Amino acid sequence: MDIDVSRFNQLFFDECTEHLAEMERIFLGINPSDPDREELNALFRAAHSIKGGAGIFGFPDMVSVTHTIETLLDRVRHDEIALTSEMLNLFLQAGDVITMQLAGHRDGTMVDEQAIQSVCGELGAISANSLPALQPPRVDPVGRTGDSREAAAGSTYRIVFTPPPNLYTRMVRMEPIFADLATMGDFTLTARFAPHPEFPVYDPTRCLAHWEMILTTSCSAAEVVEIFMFVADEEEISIEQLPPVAMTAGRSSALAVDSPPVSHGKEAATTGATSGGLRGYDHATTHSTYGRRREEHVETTSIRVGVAKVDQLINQMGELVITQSMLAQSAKQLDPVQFENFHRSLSLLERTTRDLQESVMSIRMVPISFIFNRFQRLVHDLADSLGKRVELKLEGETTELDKGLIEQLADPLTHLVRNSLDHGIESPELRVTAGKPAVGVITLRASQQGGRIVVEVTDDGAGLNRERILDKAAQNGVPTSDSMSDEEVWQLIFTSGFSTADQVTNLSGRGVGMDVVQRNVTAMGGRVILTSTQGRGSRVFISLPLTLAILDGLLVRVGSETFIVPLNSIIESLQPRTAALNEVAPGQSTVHVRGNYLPLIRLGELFAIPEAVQRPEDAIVMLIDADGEQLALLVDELLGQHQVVIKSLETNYRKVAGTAGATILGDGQVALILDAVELVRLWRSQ
Amino acid sequence: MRMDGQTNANSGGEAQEYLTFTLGREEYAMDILKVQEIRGYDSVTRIANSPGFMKGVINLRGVIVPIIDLRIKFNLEQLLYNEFTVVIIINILGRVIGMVVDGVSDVVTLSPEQIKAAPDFGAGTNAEYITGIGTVNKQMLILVDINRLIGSDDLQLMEPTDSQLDLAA
Repeated sequence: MDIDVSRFNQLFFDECTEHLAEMERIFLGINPSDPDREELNALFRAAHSIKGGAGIFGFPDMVSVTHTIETLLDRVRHDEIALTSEMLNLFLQAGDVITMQLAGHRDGTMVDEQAIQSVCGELGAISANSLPALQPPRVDPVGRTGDSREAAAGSTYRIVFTPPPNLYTRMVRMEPIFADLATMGDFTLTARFAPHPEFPVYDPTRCLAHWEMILTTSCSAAEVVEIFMFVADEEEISIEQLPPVAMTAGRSSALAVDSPPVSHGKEAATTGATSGGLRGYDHATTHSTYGRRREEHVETTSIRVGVAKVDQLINQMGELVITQSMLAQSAKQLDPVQFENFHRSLSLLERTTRDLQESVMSIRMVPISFIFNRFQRLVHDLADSLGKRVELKLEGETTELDKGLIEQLADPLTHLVRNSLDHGIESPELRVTAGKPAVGVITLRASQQGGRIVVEVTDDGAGLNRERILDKAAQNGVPTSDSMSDEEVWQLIFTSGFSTADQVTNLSGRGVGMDVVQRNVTAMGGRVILTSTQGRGSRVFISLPLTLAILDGLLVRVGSETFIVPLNSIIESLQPRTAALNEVAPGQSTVHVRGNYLPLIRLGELFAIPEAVQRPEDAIVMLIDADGEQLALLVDELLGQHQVVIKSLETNYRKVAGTAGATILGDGQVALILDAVELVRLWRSQ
Repeated sequence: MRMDGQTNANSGGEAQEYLTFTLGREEYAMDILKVQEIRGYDSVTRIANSPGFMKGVINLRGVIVPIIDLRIKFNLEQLLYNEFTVVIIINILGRVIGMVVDGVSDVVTLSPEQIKAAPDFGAGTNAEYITGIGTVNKQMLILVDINRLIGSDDLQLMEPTDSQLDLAA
């Protein structure tokens, strides 16, 4: 039966990517002089899984590279070769090669055959060079398997594979397995059939056969069993090493009794059903213990779900929240005594909805380590090529962020880390001269602060050079003046086409970078803040909304219009006394709150709402925080707190100045969601 | 809907169906395939600092949809918002947009020979959105190029850059 496995390819690609990431993580973290055994095993498992998968899905090129890695790893694992840092670098390159091959198969991108050859060649060379010196010839009893490599060529094994009846329905194909075995040495295959029942009881999808194989090979029993790793559980495989004499006997008897050895792929058709085939097959004898397969079968604790499905769930959740609040609003008109039960159910519904909403939202949340970990490799490679010594510190990797945001964050963060490496961190000599440790430190830190996630990239490098930025800006025709504050000067590097790098390197200096960072972050509803001290380093803060979908807000009324003010930007609300209000200039007032004079933004005026309350004393002043700056916002009335689903205005319309989007209220009306920072910007521009 | 506006089976050229609507005293027609639905005028949420013809946004089954008043755009007097005021919800350029008109009249089929080129009114009028003049039962229909109208910069329905992109596509 021929099954088209190509539809499972995506699954393989996903898994393979995960295994590769895992391998890379371990390679980067491992200590060559004292490698952790568990980590070596994990590496081996990952390599082996890739190999197995690649074999099943028919990517022989990947099999060959992973096989080389696996072979070398296996020998390291068994202390036959000492791990060196060169070897680790080579492993990393090999990982890249596999990634490239993977991309080639998945996206049809170009594959650099030369790179593959050279990596395999080098790995092979290491393996071959150390072979005689480090491999003591030893013969282990097969019963223990798993850790022994048979040095003497020509051990003979009898392998019996008794598959479960559902073998075929599990989409397992035996032909590639037999083909693999055949490449390992002298291989004889015999299929034996249990007597099958008569029609109509006979079910052709059930596997009634078992296979008996004789293999003479230089490989260890462990390696032989590994071939079966993806098709068989340990109790389905029995392997025994035949003594040289028994071998010939066993083999000849097999040949004598049954039809001649058949080529793989035809065994089921050509061999006759012989119940006598069960002879010599004994569950109790010399079982090879294969715990590994077991471990991998441990209860799966996660499932793969398409992002589209999750998004749909979140959308529907949003609708449910709206419906629930509509219901709550209608219920207010009902007599609480008469409809006591109804009200109780309703409050239960509200609580459940809220819990459900949290759970649904959490599905999309991914720890930020998801992207942070990529930077270990980036920094490792870049520092090498730049001749700098850099340590990357990660903090708060467990901070969770919406998956959509995480993906969009990868590019800006890469830019920032590269910038820090290229422009920030100085060469070791310069650092020592400046009295700093030779090894520079780049820190990636993530933390949740209220309703926002703050991601920080800090380096202890040279910091920004004020004069150079001003010079460069002047060259680019950007208006500058010497009286600009540092903050304003740093803002200049966010203008497009700006680069102070002395020369264009392949890392940075092309003038694309900081403006892209700012644009990407702004598109996510975030903001970038940069601080820097010359000679001490610089620090970039990226502040992002926790999630894109739902927000806690305060409903406010101005005239006949309703707005949502995000709760996380509100400090407090108060009714101002006349004494606290001062008119600084015509139409420009300040509110005096606890020693601070805060500029007053009249929302009614800003949004041209005719019926808005004119006298601040009759209205409400909300103190808002716009990225660290405090301002007072004048609204007519506070209507209450609501959790709202953010809807984009841009889907069908365009961005509206001063807002972060819109939402649908309990009565079905649309209300605009205000954004403190945007609001202040709009107010300043008017 | 009635199809009595349909004229004799035309020969040659692709006949197309148009939705006709009234703005003031004139009959206009637009490609019916762009129409998603027709609904009454409901209260809208005003968008501050937007042009006068931009009435605001509504909630159309969970989607935020902007509403423009074509009567204001086409400088018509006597704006009434009553039970006969109709919003045509159109779906073009990947967007859903509502247009307020005085009324929707009919669906007609026009063959190319029934459509005359629009006279040249010169620049500065709304003439650039008019693709031609059609005649059905001796009545004049002004054919509106809805894509061009909605995508135009002076309607400010889209960010400047992506309206150009959309039109180029």
